[in-house]
Amino acid sequence: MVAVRRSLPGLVVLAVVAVVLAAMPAALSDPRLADLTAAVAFAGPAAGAAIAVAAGRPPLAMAALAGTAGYVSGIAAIHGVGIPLSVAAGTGAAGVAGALLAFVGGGLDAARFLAFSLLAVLGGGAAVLAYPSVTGAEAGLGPLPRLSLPLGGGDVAVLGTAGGYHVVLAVAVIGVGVATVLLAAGPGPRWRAVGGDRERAAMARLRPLRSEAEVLGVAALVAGSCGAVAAHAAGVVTPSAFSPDAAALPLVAALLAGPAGPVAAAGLAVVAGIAGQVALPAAGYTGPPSAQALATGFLALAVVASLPLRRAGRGRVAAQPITAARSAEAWPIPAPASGSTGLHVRDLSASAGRSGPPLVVGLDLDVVPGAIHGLVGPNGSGKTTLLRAIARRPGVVLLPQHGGGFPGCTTAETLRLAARAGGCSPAEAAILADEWLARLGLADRGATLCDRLAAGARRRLELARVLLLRPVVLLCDEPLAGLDDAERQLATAILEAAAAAGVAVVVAEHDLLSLVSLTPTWTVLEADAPTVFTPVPAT
Amino acid sequence: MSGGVALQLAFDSIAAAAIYALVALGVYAAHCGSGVLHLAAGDAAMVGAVVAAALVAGGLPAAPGAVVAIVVAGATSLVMERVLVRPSGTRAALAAAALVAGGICIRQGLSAAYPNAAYPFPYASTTWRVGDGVVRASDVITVIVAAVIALCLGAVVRRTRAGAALRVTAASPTVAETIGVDTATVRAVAFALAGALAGLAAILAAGRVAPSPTAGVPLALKGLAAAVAGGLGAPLWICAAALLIGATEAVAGYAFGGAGEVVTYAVAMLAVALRWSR
Repeated sequence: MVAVRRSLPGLVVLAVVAVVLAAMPAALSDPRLADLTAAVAFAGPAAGAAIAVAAGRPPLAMAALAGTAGYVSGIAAIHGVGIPLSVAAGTGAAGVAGALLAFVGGGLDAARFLAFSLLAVLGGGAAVLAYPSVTGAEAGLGPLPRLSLPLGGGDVAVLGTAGGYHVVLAVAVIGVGVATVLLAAGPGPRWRAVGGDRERAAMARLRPLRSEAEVLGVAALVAGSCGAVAAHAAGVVTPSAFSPDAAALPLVAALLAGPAGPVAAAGLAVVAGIAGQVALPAAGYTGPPSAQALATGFLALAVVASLPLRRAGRGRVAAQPITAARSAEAWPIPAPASGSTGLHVRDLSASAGRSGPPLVVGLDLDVVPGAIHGLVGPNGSGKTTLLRAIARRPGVVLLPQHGGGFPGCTTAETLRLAARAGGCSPAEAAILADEWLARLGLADRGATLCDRLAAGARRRLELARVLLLRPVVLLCDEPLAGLDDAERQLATAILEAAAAAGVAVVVAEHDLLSLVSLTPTWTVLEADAPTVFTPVPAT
Repeated sequence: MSGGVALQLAFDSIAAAAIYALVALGVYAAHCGSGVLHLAAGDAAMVGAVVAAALVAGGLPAAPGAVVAIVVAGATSLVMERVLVRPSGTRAALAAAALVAGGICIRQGLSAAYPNAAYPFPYASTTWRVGDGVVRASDVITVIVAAVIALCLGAVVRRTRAGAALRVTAASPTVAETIGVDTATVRAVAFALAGALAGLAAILAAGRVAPSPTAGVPLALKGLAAAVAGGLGAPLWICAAALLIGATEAVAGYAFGGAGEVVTYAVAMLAVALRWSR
């Protein structure tokens, strides 16, 4: 219900547009209606691209996945498999291909993934042309069995152009609706968290690769279902879905739609489809470029024109005065799992990158539960490298040096995700998130995107996020840098509360003075080897 | 397989690799200067190649035509940097996506201005028969030109102030600015260089694929794959990746005919996914 409520505005727009489009057969001749069917089928790949873009996997393969579904469904139907089963097989094949694309290209950043997915598209196109006896090559595979309705008693009613149009429209509307709801809630926050900051999501135990496979799998199912039914509605499937221009349409629609999501992306793609399939040919345009390529070009031009606006970005939300308590007693942080022995490191070495020089060699470090230990060293001495090396151990959580929360998520979503990863049920996570937001002075910012918060508020949120993961050992990379006095007091109180709860805390700072108020025990990282200083407490 | 055919495949592989390596080195330079993956290098290349081919068809000699192709492709890529990359700020993924969108605009504009399916550019059509195989003069020229360009480029990057500026910008734009490097100029020059190299590659590849508004994407994509597969780090690895893709294209094409292209894309995808250095 929460998912539906959050995505209600988009769903209302979708319903209105669907009703308008459903009435179109009354106004169009059969050939024009067939063109409109092809245009409406663009909605699926665009909606799929929208959720993939939100998850940081901008794909150029959505149209090709729809084409793949069409080919698989068409081949199955030609070999006597029933239409529903053929469409299901085609859609399933697209989903598997999408998930496979995510797994194989899992280590690539967004830009490289774009190139990777385009290679897949052109490879798919080459495969279609290489086996003309199966795919029909340039002419396409057809005639395909048309969509039909079972009437009982073994009779079927083959759908005409208007019937096929309505089936494609219904599948597109369902697909776009499902994509909208999933992106707004359910797995959506996790997907957006991965898309906003993959590394932070990995450290928060959100399993980015799994999320990316889910996203591309779902996106491909949405695109594939449209592609499969559209193939049977048209009676033919052609390799045009594997061209670079067709590949780009869903992506540019998703880019232009931006935060407006799958409904807007689908709408833009359908508008471009209507322009390319219906309006320009009706106006007598013959090209080159083809009418559809021209329409896609105009959509791409709109993306280019919108770039300066994107650079301007969204304004930051004004910083709120800190009302949260600045004493450790005010922060009821749950104790880590019993049996924790803290952090014990022996002879640890760490290098910058896989082939970089070693920055830390032979480090021994012991931090018992409830203790705070400092790491001091100038910039470049290897503090971050060391923390990242230690952070790979189970039960250890790293507070990164920069940012706070997941850029694609709201503050409440960020804390709920952390609490869930920390072992809470969804209901408990929601309660904990609300409690922490209230303590952090962000009670009225639950629906604000993290990247719109002021810097100090983001750092506060980040501290809460890592503590909700219920760490046994908490590693903090310059947690006090850039904070004003009030925010420093607050961060210090939270770290002391974490230690009081039994968490072993390691704080890295380049400034020794920042650490003095937190701990009497610290390790100094120098150029050669780390030296541990443990001053005797004053008596 | 006879020795002559093996020699033919070897030349074919190296010539294809040389073409992809030129594109890849340009993509690498643009990435060094900006951190952005130049996903529209093929479209820039085809603007130059198609314009030059049209001029050559109108009577311009081939050599000045090739220069026109290189200059126009470089200028197109420079405009892309100004219009698409710069407004994207520091967001490399957005810049890459903007280049995809910009590439579409350029492709459609070029298709409207030059509506023919292809614009052949003259190339050395002499062939030599070696046993059962054939060695093409155009392949030999391609390899020699690409090798000379790569060596000159390497010397410029290693031994000149401009090369040092590119290297330090690649390592850290922030540090580069603090020591007085004009990173905006470095980025613009790197993109112009990427376009020029892609334009040269398109002209050298004219014997294989005649320039046309839509031919840039497949040509440049294999070069782009070589750059990414090489880790966008060391030019030697990038050239090795180009050789892998070029050799696969030649051998798979010989062995599987039309299906060879599928094998080439599959190998390119795997090479990108399992890139050698990060």
